[in-house]
Amino acid sequence: MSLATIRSVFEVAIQNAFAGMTPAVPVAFDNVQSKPLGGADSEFVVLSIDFPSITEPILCMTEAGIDLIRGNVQLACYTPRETGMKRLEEMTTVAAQTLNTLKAADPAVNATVGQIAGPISVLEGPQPHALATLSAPFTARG
Amino acid sequence: MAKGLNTAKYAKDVKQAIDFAMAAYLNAAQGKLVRANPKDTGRMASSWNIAQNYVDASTAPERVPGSQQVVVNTYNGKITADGTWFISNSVPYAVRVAYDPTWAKGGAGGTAWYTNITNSLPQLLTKYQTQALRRVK
Repeated sequence: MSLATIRSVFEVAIQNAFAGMTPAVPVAFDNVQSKPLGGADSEFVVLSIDFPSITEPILCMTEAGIDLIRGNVQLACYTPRETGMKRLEEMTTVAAQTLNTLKAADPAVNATVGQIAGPISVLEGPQPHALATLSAPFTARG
Repeated sequence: MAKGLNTAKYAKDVKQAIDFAMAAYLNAAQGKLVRANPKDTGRMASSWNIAQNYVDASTAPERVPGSQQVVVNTYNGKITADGTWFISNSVPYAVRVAYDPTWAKGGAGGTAWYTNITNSLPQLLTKYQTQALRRVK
């Protein structure tokens, strides 16, 4: 079991997808960047991956459980405020399309993304950025 | 020898089990949200409400920053598996803290604390339903 292998499948695919946008959008990863990327006029994405459960109980009482890694992936897409929704929607579309291709990205990991929640737009408040967040549960093999 | 099945009792026991599972599920989900919610004043963490067929928009009063006192709003009525149940939080900044990683720092489970919980709720409900239905004889 390697959580790092699973994480790398997500991070590489997401980073490549956003690097392919015009202009390219930088992606921040868990425990890498401690501050938001760029200034108020910048676009960026924050990718969070968590593993809330890594085994499942089974009926046979003599066994502890089977490996089934359940995770949660969240992408927060930021754009400058008051610039319209087009760019946010382009970014969330790229995110959703990429998540839906991950199963084929590495058959050994077999990252299977469930129903994607969002994009949830967060536009109110004094913050300099508009935000849209996507998230989805997934299962994978490490 | 054949053993007769009391279908009326069986149906009643199943209904009770499903009601029990729903109560356990709602209380556990509320508890997870309260526990994981980032706590500056504790106001948002104290404003998670359970209500049936409506959204309870009440919120905890304003707090002094750093107080971090948390009160769990336990649902006082009987929870049954019918109607529509809502777990809600109506502090003005709730959506920002739930979905914006910049504001979600300090959440138990990381900056994705909210979606971590909400995306795992189907498994939580299945777990409680399975446990409750196993007890039906």
